[in-house]
Amino acid sequence: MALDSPPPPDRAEGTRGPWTLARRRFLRNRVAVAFLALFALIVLFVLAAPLWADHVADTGPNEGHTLEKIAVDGEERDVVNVEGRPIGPQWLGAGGKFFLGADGRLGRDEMVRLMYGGRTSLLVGVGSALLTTALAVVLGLLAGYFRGWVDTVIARTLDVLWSLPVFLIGLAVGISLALGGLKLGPIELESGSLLIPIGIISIFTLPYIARPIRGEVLALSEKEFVEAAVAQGAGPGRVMFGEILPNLASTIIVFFTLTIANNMLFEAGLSFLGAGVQPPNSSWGTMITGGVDLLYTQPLLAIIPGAMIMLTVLSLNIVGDGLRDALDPKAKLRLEAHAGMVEPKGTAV
Amino acid sequence: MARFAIRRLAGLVAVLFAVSVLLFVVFTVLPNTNPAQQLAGKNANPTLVKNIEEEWGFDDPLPQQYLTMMEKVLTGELVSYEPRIDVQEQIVERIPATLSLSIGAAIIWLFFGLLLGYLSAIRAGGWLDRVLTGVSIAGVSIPVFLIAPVLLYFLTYKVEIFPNGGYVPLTENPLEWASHLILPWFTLAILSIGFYSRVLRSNMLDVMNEDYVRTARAKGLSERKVMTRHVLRNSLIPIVTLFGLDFGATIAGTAIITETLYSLDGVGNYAASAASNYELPPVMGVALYGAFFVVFVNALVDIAYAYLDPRVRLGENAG
Repeated sequence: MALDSPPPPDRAEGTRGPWTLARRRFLRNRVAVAFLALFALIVLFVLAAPLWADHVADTGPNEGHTLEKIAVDGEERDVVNVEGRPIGPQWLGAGGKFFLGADGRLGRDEMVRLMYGGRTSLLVGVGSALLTTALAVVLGLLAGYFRGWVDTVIARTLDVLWSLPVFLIGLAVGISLALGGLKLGPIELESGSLLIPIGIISIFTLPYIARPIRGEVLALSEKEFVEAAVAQGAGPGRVMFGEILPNLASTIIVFFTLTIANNMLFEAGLSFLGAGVQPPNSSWGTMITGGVDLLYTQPLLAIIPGAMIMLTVLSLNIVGDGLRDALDPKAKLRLEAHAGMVEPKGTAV
Repeated sequence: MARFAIRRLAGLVAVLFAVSVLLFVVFTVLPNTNPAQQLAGKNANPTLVKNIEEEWGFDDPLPQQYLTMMEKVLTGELVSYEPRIDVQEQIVERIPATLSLSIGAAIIWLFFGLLLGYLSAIRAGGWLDRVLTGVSIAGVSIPVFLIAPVLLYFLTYKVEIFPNGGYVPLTENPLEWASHLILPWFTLAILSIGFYSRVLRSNMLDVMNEDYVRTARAKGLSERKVMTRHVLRNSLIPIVTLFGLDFGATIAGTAIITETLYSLDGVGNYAASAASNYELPPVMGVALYGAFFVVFVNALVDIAYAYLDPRVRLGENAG
């Protein structure tokens, strides 16, 4: 449905290829471009974490400063006061140290943690989106191309996965593996490994992408160009990956973008409940857990990581929407990253 | 219809079995620790671990272990250790709070979601539509862990309009019940309001192009009647399935986080606080019961949908 029937070229657009046309359509969407820029800024922000930590804040994300004092405008202040209350945002008063204050009794620098936590959140989001998309493409191609029992097995498994309350089960898996890690045959993961949340999220979001891709492969494999390839003697591998896969490109790009947003929310939810990223790593989700305890004394500790999640998810959603409009103006594809994790099932049709 | 229902229920049994096996694997096969140690808790003494190992038969072959686990959970024998507390009792006690939260939120999200979607659709392309579309995109992107802290800080602390978390049973004091639930209800509903309004809007725009809508207009029906009797009614059918699925998923998803944020003592909060202490038995109980509940609701929704829309039950891949 995607690129096999490009819209008839009009005069203004001449005889450009479909990708050039798509890029032009995307660039004309000012809102999407603005949010793409915002997303790029967020990525730069988290990438700059070591620079800020070493040259401005002069501390690491997990270094405590409980008993220390800092000089703010020539005045000494406790990082954590006698009642155990952390210092609030100092902005640039202490030369960039404790820009957003300290995170709690341990007196860690909130700004440094926000930047490093964002790295973890983005890493888990992007990593799990890559894994889900890759698995979904392979399963979708196998099911849609071979049909028969291969399709039955894959489609039924996806159906079962799809009908489960994935967040609740993801939570159970996360907690069960949080204590001692995972051991499954040759695979062994430590309890703090980021591969655990990445794996959980990838598996449980799989049906949301694999099902629509399978549907599209079913439709594409009826097309003449597939028949032509088979007639020329192409084997299943070449037909699937050489002929059908390129036609899935626009679907994959759109789903990949929206899945990052969705998976970041999934990660934040799991981590917030202690079933995702494990200490000493931190993510925006685990930072909110700590912040909520101090909500009435230092509200920003909970609100800022929450706002970062929102800005990232919002920008990815809008960019994903823009990409869909640009790549496939007539598309029926709908997969909304939803702040309720992976709820809107009716949409991934 | 009966045949469809029977087939769907057979599918339900298969899914329930699959979920129970999945959870068994999650709790006993996957972890790189002794499952008895896991169940006993983080700092359990060796005697307790030994007892649990015998009680659960962790030396038995896996199928036998599976049966023991299911028997324990489904007959209500599951307990959390240190102190020894009956898990099923704890869950049952908290069901009213969870249902109050979820049903109230569902009513709010359906009402506002459909209202905004309808207004957006009949003014498609106008300024109201644009504003509402923007609001709903923002709505679907706001995570509960941002809404709840903001609402709690400003509306229970800065300005003390609402009580600061907790739950009061409906039977005890209906007014207090509602005032404790207003913020959690809206927190849980905001995401779905945005989402449902977009779904209804696009459904309605699709239906507006149908021939029978043109016929209705040609008959001379008023625009209002065309919209409510023909367009809205037909656009609501897909919403039924969506709602059934979302309701189950919300109870077993965002509601857990919302309960935790508002210290609303429901089933989700029970699982979450057990989780934060690495106490496995409550998580096991809530996960299994919760999954059964959601799978069951989904099956009922499918049957209801087949009843509403005959194409589903006559279609080949139904079920």
